[in-house]
Amino acid sequence: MAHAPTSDTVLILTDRDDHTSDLIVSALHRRRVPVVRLDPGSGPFHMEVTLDQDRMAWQGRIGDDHHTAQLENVVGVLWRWPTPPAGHPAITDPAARAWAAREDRLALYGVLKTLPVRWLNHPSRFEIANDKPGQLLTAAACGMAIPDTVITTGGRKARAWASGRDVLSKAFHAQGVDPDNMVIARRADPAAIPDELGAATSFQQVIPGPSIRLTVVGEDLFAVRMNGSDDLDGELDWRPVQDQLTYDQVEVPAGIARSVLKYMRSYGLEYGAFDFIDGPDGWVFLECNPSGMYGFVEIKCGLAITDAIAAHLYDKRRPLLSPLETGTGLPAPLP
Amino acid sequence: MPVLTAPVAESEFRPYGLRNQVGLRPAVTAIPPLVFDPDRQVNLHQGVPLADQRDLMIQFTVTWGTTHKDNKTDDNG
Repeated sequence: MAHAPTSDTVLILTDRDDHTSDLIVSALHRRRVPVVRLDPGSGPFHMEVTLDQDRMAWQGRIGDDHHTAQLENVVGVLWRWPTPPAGHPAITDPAARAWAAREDRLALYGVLKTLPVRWLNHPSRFEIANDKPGQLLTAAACGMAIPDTVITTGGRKARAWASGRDVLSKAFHAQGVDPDNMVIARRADPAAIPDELGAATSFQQVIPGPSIRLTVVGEDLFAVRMNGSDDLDGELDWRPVQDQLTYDQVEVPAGIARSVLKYMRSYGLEYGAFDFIDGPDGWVFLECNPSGMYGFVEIKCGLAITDAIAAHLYDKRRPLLSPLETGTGLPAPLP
Repeated sequence: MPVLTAPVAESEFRPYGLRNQVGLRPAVTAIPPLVFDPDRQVNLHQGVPLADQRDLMIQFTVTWGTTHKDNKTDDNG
């Protein structure tokens, strides 16, 4: 295993195609902060850890063929999009390799999740915060306006609800049946909704107005308006044409800022990519992706989101979280 | 105004939601030729870190090569 840094280290869990994370690695390197970027699915990873019952913590080393992190030195973890372990490449039997991959995942992720560090975001908290039905309830509880929404497998329910309304249908997961397709949010004709929908489908009230992307890092808020997002020749979804839009930084209304920070605290998130519509009666919450993209916003508008993330992971003034606070339910380390 | 691509052709019974499946344009999916440097832990374009070439990042897809992890949803590992 490669030699591990002996000073405070930031661990980044993400895949090699996450080019936005390149910005974060570079920012940390400029701060002379040791970084270990690990993608368990990109090749063999290594772990040698021991349960220290005096410190009530897992101690040891985790890494790949090029970099190793000493767990005791890790002060921050950025968890974005790691590909899961794929199993040892020398295992040729697919079932055996899949078994090995699952063992690797449970071991590696299980140990990492116990680290008492600065998380952005802890995967257990991501899992809860990523559920869209729950997001709407939480947003409303935190004081934000949300669109009327139904989820149904039955077209009759959808037609009845949608009759006389301007509605759209949207997917819970936008990736299509292959990587270069996307299932976009699109206006729905109530009369054309079939009886059998084939899957649970979300229908939502259309809120007129431009889209707002609000990126939150800790208590730092970065908001941009997507110009032209409300004028797409009848379409509603800006994502497939985001390269053709322009973006302007905007102020976050004070009430929205309070609600958003309350939302973050309720889920225990340190990062969130919020989508709003700047509607006739103010900002309306659509959803929050706890690991959403931000690179396009930063580069197009010059926002210092990368710097905020790097500082958040390494800022010694920010407290390290005990395992209890990371959601693992484990007892806090003994003093 | 921006024009979306035509939906992928539908046949046989498919979920209603897939009617809204569209193919992404190369402008959104394209990435420059990159090589991941495992020692520097970043992607390189012609030997230079992509992170140091923001004009290149703007020129290519704003999702930076991760169309299967679009900026709304992903599986987070």
